[in-house]
Amino acid sequence: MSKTVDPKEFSRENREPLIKIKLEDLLKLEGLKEEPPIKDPPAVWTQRYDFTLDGHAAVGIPIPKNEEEKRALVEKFLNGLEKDLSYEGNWTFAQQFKLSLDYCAKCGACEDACPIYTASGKQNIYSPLYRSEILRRIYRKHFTAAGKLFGTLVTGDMDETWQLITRLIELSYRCNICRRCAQVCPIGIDNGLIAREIRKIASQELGIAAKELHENGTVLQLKVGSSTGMNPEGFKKIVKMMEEDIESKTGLRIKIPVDEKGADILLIHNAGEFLSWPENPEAYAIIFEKAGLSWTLSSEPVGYDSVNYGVWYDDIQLARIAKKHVEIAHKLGVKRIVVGECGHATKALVVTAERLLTRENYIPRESVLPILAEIVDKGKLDLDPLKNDFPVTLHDPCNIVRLSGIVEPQRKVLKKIAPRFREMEPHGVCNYCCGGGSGFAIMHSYNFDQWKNKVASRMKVKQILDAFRQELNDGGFKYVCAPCSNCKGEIRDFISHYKLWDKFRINYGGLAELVVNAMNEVKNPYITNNEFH
Amino acid sequence: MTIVNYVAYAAYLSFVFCVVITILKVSKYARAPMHLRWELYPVPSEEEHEHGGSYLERPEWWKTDIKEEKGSELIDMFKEMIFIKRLYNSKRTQWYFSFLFHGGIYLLLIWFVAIFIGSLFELLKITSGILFTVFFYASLVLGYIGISITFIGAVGLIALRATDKKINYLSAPVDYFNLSFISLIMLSMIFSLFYDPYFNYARSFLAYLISGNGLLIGVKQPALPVASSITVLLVCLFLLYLPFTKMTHFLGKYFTYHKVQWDSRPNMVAERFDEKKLELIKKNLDLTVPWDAPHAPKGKRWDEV
Repeated sequence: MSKTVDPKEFSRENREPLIKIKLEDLLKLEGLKEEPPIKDPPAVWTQRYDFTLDGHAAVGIPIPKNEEEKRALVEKFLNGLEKDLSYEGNWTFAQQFKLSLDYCAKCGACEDACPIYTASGKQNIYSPLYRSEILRRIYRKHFTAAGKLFGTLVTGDMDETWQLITRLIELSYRCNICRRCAQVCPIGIDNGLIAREIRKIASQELGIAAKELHENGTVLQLKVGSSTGMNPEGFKKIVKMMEEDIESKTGLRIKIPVDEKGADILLIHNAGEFLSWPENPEAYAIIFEKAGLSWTLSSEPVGYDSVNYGVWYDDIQLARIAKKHVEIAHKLGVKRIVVGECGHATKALVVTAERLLTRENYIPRESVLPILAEIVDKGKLDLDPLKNDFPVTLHDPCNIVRLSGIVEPQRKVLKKIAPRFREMEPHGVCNYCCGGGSGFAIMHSYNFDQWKNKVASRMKVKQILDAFRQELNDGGFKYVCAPCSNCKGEIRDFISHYKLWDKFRINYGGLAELVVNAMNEVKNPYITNNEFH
Repeated sequence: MTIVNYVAYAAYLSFVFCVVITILKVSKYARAPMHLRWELYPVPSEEEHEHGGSYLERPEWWKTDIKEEKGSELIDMFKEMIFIKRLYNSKRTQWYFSFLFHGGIYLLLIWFVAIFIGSLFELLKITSGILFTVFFYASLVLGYIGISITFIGAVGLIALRATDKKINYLSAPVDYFNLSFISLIMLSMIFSLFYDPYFNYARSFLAYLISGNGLLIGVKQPALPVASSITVLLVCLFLLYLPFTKMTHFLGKYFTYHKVQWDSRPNMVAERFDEKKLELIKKNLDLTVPWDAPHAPKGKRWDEV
């Protein structure tokens, strides 16, 4: 049975986790008879870092050494909250943040929309309402006249301890920021944004963020060129290898354009693709060349990595990376930037960054998916859909559908090239996150992988099993099409965790790979049905 | 000074106070800098809204004419305002009482308009005719139904809040107080009906307020039963309290929908810049960064980060 943790208990200082994740509480996965057990964190971690939220850590905030450090944690958080509430300090999001703090009616409509809350067996601490209510109580107490005048009558009862802050920051990393909760809220309250703003206060004021997002993410990207650590020389070598790879796999000799000044398109992929799934950028190289597009990649630092983790936790880093992308495009003299199959990068550069650009540095930006749909639709490639004669389902990346409104292009492509395509339920703008959203896909610190696989991804595992229900045990190859690098990373992780490849031959990949696999010009299968990677 | 004078003063003051504070509150939100885009699909004004899509589905979208379907936005807005569609789809148990409660309040607002028009008739000495009859009976129907269902809805929502284990432990006393306050006003209105079943005293009192006589001492005053006086005073207290509460979410909703979730308009449409937006962006980028983390360029302009 899941346990109800009230806010008073949430704020209490102690060393025991508020809840313990148990297999029997979690959402049932039909078709899956067994799964790996849940392990407790080792004492070496719990003695040094705060694991008291749920026995897991994404950020791993060190336990303060003395009273002074404890006080500083609370004070700094309050300073940060004050800045986040001011229009000057937080022009980027203060309006929607304040609205979401002020007007929640606590009806609870958001709860069942949340895949994490539902998959956890309805553990109340994961509910979007709960997390926001903890912050709202702090807000009301310190920043509203009613809270100051009437105290707990308005704010509710809660202590102000260092663990209130550390648990709240950890809890902000138990939300995918998929914003499904905001989509069902009758008032339009955005509890996903509140999670993001908690992360932002922690990052921009306290200097606390998930290591993979900040130190090994945006900081590394701005320093060496990519959050993968890849530098321009490494990138150029990989491009050479990709050209060789294309030739050996397809027999096609493609020269991948790099730093071609004056090209029409600057195509920016998530650099994770080059290392983990080179078949995706290779597929785009083949498609763009065959479609006769004028395009180029960039070897400039940051120009070959579309990721912008700032969109999940930090506006300063978000602005820095977006501006860098734009600056590189101008230097190359391209007419537009096209973002490859990466959801958050699309959202960050195409949508969110729009209001960071002035007339002087404005450049049009778009997702690659409508271009791909147009190429397929206009018959620019000779395609045989029967070459994709295996069950295919589509995972909708939240950042592509619900947050950018790009829903049909990927479906248009699949309907033309995948005869056994079927939707997951629900899909489109009502989709569920893969579990890797808001940076989870790249976060592997401590035992966070265990929490992700068991809780965050669970709803998606269920959706995939349901989508292939008819053929689940037939031993045949099945393909989860995920046009997003981070989603692919997460799907790879949970396919391994639940052994979905070994048990059911469920594999995954991008959209462009399916297109190339259907090309008559490509003789050998581009998607191999006998290996999982 | 009679009790009616005091009640009239309370009505004027609370009304003006509520309007002024509400305008100040709204203007505070309206004056917020243009934030980064944070829309949420489906956006009903988009041409592609039926499948939840956007203009970003078009190759080279900035070269296209991006129309705004205001009609479809209005339909969605009304579905949400009148039927609370999202709650209906996501939490049906709550919806039944919420719908009654909000529906009742809407009916009472229309009832107030009918009473207002009735009081104008009174001032103009119109005591018969079709319009007079229509508004007289409309006020009866709207008032009786409005009061009843608002009361049932409010009590139902209190009961749900108290018994729903998913939300009761997160509810502060103020969450119960707000609904209880409205229930109390409705109870008082029900009680007043015994003394003023046709709202005749209500019309006369409103005519007294509208004419400005309520501000004067010594002019002829309308009769007002004690029960009605208590109701008016409760409403006055409510008007003083309302602007400081989350019950003004009907105003917040305008911003959360129109200025956040549905605000997807780009800076460039059909290759032409939106000059106003570019100005606002420039203004924002001139603001200084106040944050203190080691990587934050404190004191620098956003343009320089």
